[in-house]
Parts: sequence; structure tokens; C-alpha cells
Amino acid sequence: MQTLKQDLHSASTCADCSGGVMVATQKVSDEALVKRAKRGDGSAFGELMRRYQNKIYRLARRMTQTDEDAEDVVQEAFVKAFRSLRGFREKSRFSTWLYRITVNLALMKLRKRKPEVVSLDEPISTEEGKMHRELEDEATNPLERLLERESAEVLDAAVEALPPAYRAVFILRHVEGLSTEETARILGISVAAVKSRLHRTRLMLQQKLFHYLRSQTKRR
Amino acid sequence: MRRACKAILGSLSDYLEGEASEQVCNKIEEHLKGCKMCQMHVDNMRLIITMYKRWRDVDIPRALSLRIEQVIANEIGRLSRDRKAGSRRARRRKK
Ligand SMILES: [Zn+2]
Repeated sequence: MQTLKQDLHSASTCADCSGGVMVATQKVSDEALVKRAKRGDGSAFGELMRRYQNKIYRLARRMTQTDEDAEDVVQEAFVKAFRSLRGFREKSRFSTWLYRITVNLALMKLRKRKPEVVSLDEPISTEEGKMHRELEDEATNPLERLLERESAEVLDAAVEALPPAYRAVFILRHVEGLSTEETARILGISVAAVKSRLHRTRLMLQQKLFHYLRSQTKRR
Repeated sequence: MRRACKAILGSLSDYLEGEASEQVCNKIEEHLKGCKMCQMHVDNMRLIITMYKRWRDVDIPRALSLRIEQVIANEIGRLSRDRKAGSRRARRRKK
């Protein structure tokens, strides 16, 4: 029987033994690490954690928009991944599986925070026509000027206003740059649903930013 | 929204990610040339995506990373104890 290695001891975090070990583990595929971790090799799971912790942290932070919730989500995601690794059937990539766990935990956090107000099937208001008309009146793109001036605050508000399911689709597809197919697999929805949510998300984002822009102009 | 605009909107995400086929790209670009509204939408989305990617683009805090390693190490320890206990029970049953 395979003995259980207890050390998660990592070359990358230990000054005494960095170097050789890192080079040796660098070429190991996720699949091989998953197989080793399933057999109880703790260092293999440690390596998977190191590979994905920054990505998972960024994803959690963008989804939850608070440091505290993001930290909870990342920790819960890795614990959940560890506990359910034996049940992971390796039909999808490890990263897809881990993203899926993370997104679901983040969505749960958001659901606890406030109920989703916009129904997924509800059509978006047709203010976009008006918005486009007003945007067209300007010689240069006002959104561009706005984002240049105060991007963080404005984007924060716009993304905050997105219903969680839309936020997830936008982040996975456009920010993480995952394919439509992979985004669909992570969220457990169809490719067509991803596409339609993306389209609506784009319109919502633009609309939100435009409202913000208009309120800014009024204030001045 | 005009019908011609609606027709390209579904492929716009692929287009923005540079993953649309050449045929779809041509169709979209042809439309954008004649439609200021869609061109504006594409420009805005490019801008939003670029800005958003830069936002919160930080690595995991070291303290959190260490805490998670500790939590997982505890999980591994627990699993190991469970297994040992399990095999002891199995041996006892044999006797
Ligand atoms: Zn158009």
C-alpha cells in the first residue's frame, strides 16, 4: 500500500531547498499530479495548490469583490477540492474542476449577501437605444475619458451591479480568457446560454457605466 | 436594435477574444464599418475588458497561502489517522 506523505513542504516557499525540486516538478502535468494526489501524495496536492492559488485568488476576489470573502472562498475551495478529489473523475481538466468549485462557492457567498434581483430570463430594458443615441452625440467617446480618469471605482460599481451569474460568465470568458466551451463546463450551462448571458452582460455593463457617466455630468 | 446588429451580437464575444472564424470576423467588421452604434459597443467593451483585467490583478497574500497549506496539512494528517485506524480495525476483525 502506498504510504501517505504528510509533507506539503514546498520548494517554492522554503529557502533551504528551492531550486532542484522546482525544476523537477515543473514539467509534471496536472493529470499526473492529480493521480498522485489521489493515491494520498500530499506533496502532489501541494504542487497543484501552488500552481493555481494566484488564479483562484484573483477569480474569487473579482467575483466577491471583498478581500475577506475572497479569502474564505479560496480556502474553502482548496479544502473542498482536497476532500472531493477521489470523486473527481478526470473527464474535465483539473483547472476546470477547480474553477467550478471556486465559482460555485463565490456564488453561494453572493447569494447569502443579497438576493438576485434580476431574473435571468427577464429582458433588459430598452434604454440601450437611448444610451447609444446619447453616446453618439459626443465627438469623442465619453466612456473612454471616464475610465481613464477613475477606472477602479467606476468598474467596481458596474460589476457590483451585475447579477452574480452574469458576473461569473463575464469574468471567466473575458477576464480569465477561457473559451466559451470551458466557461459552459465550469458553470454547468450550455454554450448557447453562455453566449446569451455574455451578450446581456455586455449591454448591462455598458448601460451601468453610461448611467454613471450621466450622473457625473449632472453633478458637475 | 436593428436586425443586422442583432445578427452579429451573438458572435461578438468570440470576436472580442480574437477567436471568431475569419468568415465571422469579416462579417462583423463589414457591419462595424457601417454601424456607429456597434462600433461604439465594441470599442467600449475592449476598453472595459482591458481596464478590468488590470483591476485586482494581485497575487494571493502570503499569509493566506500559508494558512491554506496548514489547513490542508491538517486534512492530510486526519486522513492518515483515519486510514491507520481503519486498517487496525480490519486486522482485528481478521483475528
Ligand atoms: Zn450595428
